[in-house]
Amino acid sequence: MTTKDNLIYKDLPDETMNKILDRVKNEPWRKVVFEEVFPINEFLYHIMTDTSRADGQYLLPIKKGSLVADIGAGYGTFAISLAKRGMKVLAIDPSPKRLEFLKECAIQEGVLKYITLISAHAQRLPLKDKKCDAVIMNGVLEWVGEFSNDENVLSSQKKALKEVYRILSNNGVFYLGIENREGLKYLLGAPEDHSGIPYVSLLSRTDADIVSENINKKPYKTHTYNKKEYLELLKSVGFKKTEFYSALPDYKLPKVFFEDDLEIEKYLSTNLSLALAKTKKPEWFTTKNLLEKGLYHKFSNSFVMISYK
Amino acid sequence: MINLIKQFILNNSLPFLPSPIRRVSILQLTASSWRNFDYGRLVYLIFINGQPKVVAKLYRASKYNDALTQEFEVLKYVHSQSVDLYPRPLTLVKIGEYNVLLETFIEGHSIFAELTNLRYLPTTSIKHLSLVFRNHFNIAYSIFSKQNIQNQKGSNKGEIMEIKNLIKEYARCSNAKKQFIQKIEATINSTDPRVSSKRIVHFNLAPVNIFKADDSYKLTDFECSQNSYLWHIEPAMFTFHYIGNLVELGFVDNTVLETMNSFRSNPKNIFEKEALDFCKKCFNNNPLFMQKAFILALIKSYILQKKVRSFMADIEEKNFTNIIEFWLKEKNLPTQNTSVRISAKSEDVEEDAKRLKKRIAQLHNQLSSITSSRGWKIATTLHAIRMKLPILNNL
Repeated sequence: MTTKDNLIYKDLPDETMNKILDRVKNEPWRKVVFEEVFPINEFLYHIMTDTSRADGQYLLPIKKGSLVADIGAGYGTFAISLAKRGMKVLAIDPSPKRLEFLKECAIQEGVLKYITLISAHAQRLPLKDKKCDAVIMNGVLEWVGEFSNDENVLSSQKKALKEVYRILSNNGVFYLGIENREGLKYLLGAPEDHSGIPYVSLLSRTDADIVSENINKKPYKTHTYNKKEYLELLKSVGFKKTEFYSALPDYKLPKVFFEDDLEIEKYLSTNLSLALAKTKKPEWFTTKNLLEKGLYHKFSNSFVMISYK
Repeated sequence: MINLIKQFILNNSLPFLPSPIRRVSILQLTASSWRNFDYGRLVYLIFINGQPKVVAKLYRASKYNDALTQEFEVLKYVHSQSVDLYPRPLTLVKIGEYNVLLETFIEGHSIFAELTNLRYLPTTSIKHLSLVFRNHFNIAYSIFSKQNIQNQKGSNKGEIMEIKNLIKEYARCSNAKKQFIQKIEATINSTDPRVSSKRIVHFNLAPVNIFKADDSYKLTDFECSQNSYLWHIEPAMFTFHYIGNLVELGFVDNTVLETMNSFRSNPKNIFEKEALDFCKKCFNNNPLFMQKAFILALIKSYILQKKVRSFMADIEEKNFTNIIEFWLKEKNLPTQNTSVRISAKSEDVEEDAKRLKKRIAQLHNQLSSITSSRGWKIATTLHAIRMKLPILNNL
């Protein structure tokens, strides 16, 4: 399947991506990424290489041989990691270049035979109904509105979720990793991760559009939600049950996942140093205080949700 | 895995756990993986009826299942020697495709947590910070040093071969090296007779693995532990001091973490190169060790930076000494001939910096030869040879 270039998420300049693709065919992929990405975007370098990013997969009740679709597979951290565990992986991404990169990595990691590469958008998955044991969407749903022709963001996101539901087997399970629109860092004024505009996720969508038009010259379409809204969204497409996990410091490069539990939060309030080593001072203190009171799960910067069909 | 572990806890009555079990909740900790899909493991803290009671560990890759068996055996042994100092091993069980080691939860906080919880306190707390670190470390280390264990392997064939090889290698050594080895041997002889036997060495005596509850200390995480002749210094600890100083002095930056993984073909400078060489020698290029050593180095760096800051404050109060002297003092090394002076008022800062770098390079070479793992191995093994003369006579 082909995809239109303007509807594809990009986090590297074309020139850099092309250079990476040229080099990665003959050189170790980590070396290439270190040399090409680290100097220009340290965060992305970690995203591409830190395998702890994929540790949320252990929250899923899947086993060796399960068929897992990784929607928005990106640079393949989840896909390769799953394949290393012996899962059969459908790595789905609209970007042929990222898929090419993923393929080279998979070859070098010796797991290509477990991975099928599919170029497609989340809203139109070229897969049969009830095919997959599990579906993973990590850092993808929020971008669906941005790269969709659909004017209504919620409707495009629902469309993608319906596709997930459709391809899941009857006992299938869905992993959704995404930001909390009311996350602590946003409340403390950090720029919203996708638009770069502070406080925008906290506004009504109409107000957010106005602010975004003003600053970014386009409407705000990278919608995230709060816990209650996610639950409603998932229910609306058919998921019967959803488990919430908070991720510290964030689902992007997590150190800790935990369930809503007062005692766990209290424990973390005095033992959270590992998870928050790089967090900024005000957030560090506030997180600590919220954990002490067992309230952090409401303000977690991001969630991982495990939903059952 | 979380649900499978939960089910296991609920369906199996493990000893030393509360009964009845009404509620199980779990926290998943992600260990850093050295950016390698095959390394790294997951740790689960299991809360039973609202209280943390069990720790479960598993490797990301099931091919490392056997490593947990070794850890379980070590834990059983050390716990049998001293029930108060170590977590109690509960069971090693297959859950899904993974071996999962279950042990009792240790109350209290890790020293690492104490250190980092103090990170935003004013500088007046820095003294406390370094004291916490040093005292806790010393206490834990002395506790653990008491755990002697004879070589448990029945046959000494391997040892004899090793001794033979090392004798050959020793014969090829330069006189300087021989003198160096003899010097180390003399040091060993003068300090501790226990070197003749292998014992369990933790090999990851990091602040994060030392727990303090009230006034007692416990040591956990025996992932890297093994029987070893190395007795009074651990490679990780040594690197911790060594690289820590290089980082502190600004010759090695945080990206050394990446360099250690051999990504970068050209290290930035000689210090980085030497640091890498040292690490590779020291840990046989095992990234798991290197990463942990580096974490230690960063903590050390942090503490030293704070110390240096207060030291610079001393300079302002005219209690002048210099960084090299400070550093040598820290390392209990002689401080004569260290004429490099650091002065905020000096007009010839560049010249000072050059001399400082030169002096550090000299010290660095000194350390490098001392820390040659091969030399160390020869020295410790030669000592062992002498203790095993009857064996040698039969060769």
